[in-house]
Amino acid sequence: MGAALWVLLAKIRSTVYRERERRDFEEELAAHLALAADENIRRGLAAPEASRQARLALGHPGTLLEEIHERRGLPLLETLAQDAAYGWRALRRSPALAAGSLLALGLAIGVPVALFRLTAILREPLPFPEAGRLAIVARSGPLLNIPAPLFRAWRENLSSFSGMALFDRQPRPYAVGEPRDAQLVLGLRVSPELFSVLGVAPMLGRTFAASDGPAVVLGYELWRSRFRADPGIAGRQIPIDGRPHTVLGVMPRAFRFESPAAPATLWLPIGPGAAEGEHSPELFGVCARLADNVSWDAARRRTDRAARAVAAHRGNRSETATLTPLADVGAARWLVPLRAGLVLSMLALLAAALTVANLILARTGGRRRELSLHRALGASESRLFRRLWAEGALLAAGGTLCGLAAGALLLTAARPALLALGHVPFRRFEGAGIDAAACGFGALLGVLAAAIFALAAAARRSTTGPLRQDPPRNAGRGRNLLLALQIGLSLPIVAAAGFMIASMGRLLLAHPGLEARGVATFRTPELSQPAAFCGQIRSLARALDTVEAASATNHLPLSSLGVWKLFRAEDLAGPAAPAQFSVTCPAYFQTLGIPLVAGRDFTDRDGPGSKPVAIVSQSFARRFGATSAAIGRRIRGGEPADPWLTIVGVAGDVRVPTLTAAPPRQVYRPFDQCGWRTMSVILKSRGAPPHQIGPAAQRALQGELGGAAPSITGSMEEIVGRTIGPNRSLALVLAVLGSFALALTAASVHGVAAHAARERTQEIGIRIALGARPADVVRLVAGRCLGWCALGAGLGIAATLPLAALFTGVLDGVRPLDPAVLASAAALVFGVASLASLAAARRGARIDPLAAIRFE
Amino acid sequence: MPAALLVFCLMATGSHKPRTELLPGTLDLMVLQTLQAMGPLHGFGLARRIEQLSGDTIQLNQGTIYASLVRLHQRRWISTEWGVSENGRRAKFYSLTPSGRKQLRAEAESWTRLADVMGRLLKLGAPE
Repeated sequence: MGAALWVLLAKIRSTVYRERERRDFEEELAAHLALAADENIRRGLAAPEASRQARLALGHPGTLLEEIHERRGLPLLETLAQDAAYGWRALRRSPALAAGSLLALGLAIGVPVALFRLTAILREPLPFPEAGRLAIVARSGPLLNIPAPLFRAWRENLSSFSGMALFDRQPRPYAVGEPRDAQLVLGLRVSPELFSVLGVAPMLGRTFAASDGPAVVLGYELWRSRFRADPGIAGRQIPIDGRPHTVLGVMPRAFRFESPAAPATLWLPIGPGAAEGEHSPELFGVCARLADNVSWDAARRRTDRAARAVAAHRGNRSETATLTPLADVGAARWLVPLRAGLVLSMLALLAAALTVANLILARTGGRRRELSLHRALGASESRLFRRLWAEGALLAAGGTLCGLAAGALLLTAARPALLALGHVPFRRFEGAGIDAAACGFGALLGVLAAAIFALAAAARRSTTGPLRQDPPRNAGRGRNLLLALQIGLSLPIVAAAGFMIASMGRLLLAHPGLEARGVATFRTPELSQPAAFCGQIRSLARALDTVEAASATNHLPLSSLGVWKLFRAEDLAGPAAPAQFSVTCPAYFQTLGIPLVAGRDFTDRDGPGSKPVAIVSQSFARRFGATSAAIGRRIRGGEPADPWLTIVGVAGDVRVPTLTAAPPRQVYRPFDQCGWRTMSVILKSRGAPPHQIGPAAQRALQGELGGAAPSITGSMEEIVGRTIGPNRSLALVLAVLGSFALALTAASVHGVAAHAARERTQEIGIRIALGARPADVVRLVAGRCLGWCALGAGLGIAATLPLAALFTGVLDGVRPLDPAVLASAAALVFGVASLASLAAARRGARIDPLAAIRFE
Repeated sequence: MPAALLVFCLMATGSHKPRTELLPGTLDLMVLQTLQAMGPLHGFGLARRIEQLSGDTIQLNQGTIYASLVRLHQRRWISTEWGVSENGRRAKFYSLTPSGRKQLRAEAESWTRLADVMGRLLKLGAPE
């Protein structure tokens, strides 16, 4: 064992000092000959004969030198270096092909590497101790849908958890600081147990206890930026929405607990009176930690059973509970398109590798003579293979490096887009760069490409005979087969891009149910005179001549989950149904362009003293049968103390054009009857873009409402755009990949057809000399190539069928296997292939017959 | 005893085509044994000693000795040094290292065992 190591070391040394050792050995041989000659002379031979005898006894010095040299060094390494140099020269001879191949491989490796990294970020463990034991407990339906009384009942009866906590479905804006320089930040209300359920202790001070008055726990960033990292902050009073709150503590930097809607930077306690302005219970999220020794399955079973018992006790017929791992919340809608993109980009890599292999092979076809000579001179099988593979291996190595660089670049470029697209709870894309795992993945893809080149080289080698210069009869078959495979791989990519683009087109055409154009939005600080609010908004609309209409709502449509409540209808069997609950000022529907299908809008007369009224969405009204049948019916919230609300109008559905097909049911209430702490103001401009009227409107709004300045929360168009973000970015990636696949197809087909034409130059020359027209030649060359393309297209359609499963759930409005889209994708690929082969064949047909016959 | 072993090795390898019929490792053992017996030697000296020990009945292809020397040197069983020969010529001298000595002992032992077995085996059934 020790000896083997010494041998290796000696060989490495000899490889390094190759020249010196060679001279040394030559010297030694010379000495040997001299000594032998000396002895021969001593034995009485003449000097010339003595030298001759000495040389005879030693053997041929050249062979000996070679043998010793090989024994000393690492011959494999040296020939490898030679092969690499050979490959390098071959690449240098056709720089365009080399550069194109590197670009193609780089892109084809870069895209999956970037997607791999993003997927990995979504799968990273959450920043909590034993985060795998954390769950969101919910009733069936939307994930965060628990009223506080049900939570309390559950907490007493559900035994699978070591702790349960309540939190807001979405953060609210809070004005932190004195009113004149208040800063609006997003905060989340949570029940006091949350921090112990998560298992995170504060960095400073403490978290909530049951008996605290108005109190707040600050996030690290807010503490640093707003309070200059004041170490004595715990115990101080700070104004939040104008009311003093005691700062209890500061959470550590890595801590984040947020809703799926948006990040939060401070946490407030959920008081006993969790409902806000309305008696019906508001819905919350519930986070729980599984007790030790309880498996997920057991917890699911036990929770469901206990929840049914609780429901029966509370008089609800059927109410079940579901458990979702906290890590899965919000990440799922990203994972599906990311995985689909990853699979398709790997297909694109295969297609790219096949194309490059094909182009290299088509070129080595021209080197048939050189390779035959190699073999005739005794090059071994493995040596010939290495020669053929050298170019591909170099390209794969270079392509991997380019791919990693491209992946890093893509991630950097995608970062602002990812941040704008929306928020994934607990995950941060900001720091997303290439890491070791992504590098490993890229290297793996590079090895895959190199393996494809190796297979192609091995197939090619077997068609090279020692003294065979004429192409064997089936020489082109390997290339054609590769071509068919490559087209078969490209078609699913093009088809997927087609499906996605068709789906996006329908999404963009689909009316979201509101007119987003020209609508600017603002968020007010806590309202000081709620009673006058709707009037203030109306006079604002009159005062600003850039504004056509104005209104306000507690939560902007489409922007987030909103507030959900349970509603039961009078004279209607069935359990109470959850609906999104919006509080609006009059003219809300007019401002947003939501049609009133039946009945009337809220008016000034719907005040605190008058009959409680509501407007419902069409999807809600459908429970009563015909839309108009809903007018005059009564609904009420899920708790006994809730008032009966009379439906006075039915508004059109506002459809979130994303994965959920059904529009959410909506119940609208007049602001003057139920109030709300802070509101979103919406202004419809008279034609100017929303960002232009923004600052002036903000000042006017502050003047009208008094207090801190309301914040500008972007245009309605941006909010609509954000909801289709992930799908749009997937469509973009697929469009890039699809065009890439088409370009590969064109290059591949052109290369193969051009080579076929070159190989038959003589035959074509004779045909032209005998009177064949160029069209005949084109038919001859392109015809066979197109047959293989058609085979490839058939393979591609067959490959698309199983891949369609990836897209269920991502595609909206398009069946995953829409025949029209599939047919157009196939037609597109085949069309590009035909054009490329025709172009190559036409060039082949433009030869001078005399030159062609003299070609050899 | 070592000399007898050397002769046995040479006999075992046959005399007409020593290069191809040399049992693997045979020449290495001969070289180690010669260096042990004679002290530092240059390549030509080694080749001649081995030939002389066989009574010049074997014409060794002298070049093969160098392949063996490289092999032994790579394993650090012998060391090299440029020196001056008895008749005043510059030559490379090879000498046994401690690990070479150990290796020789081990290989000689296994060869002797094998030779014993072979001897007994060949006598089997042979007319006395």
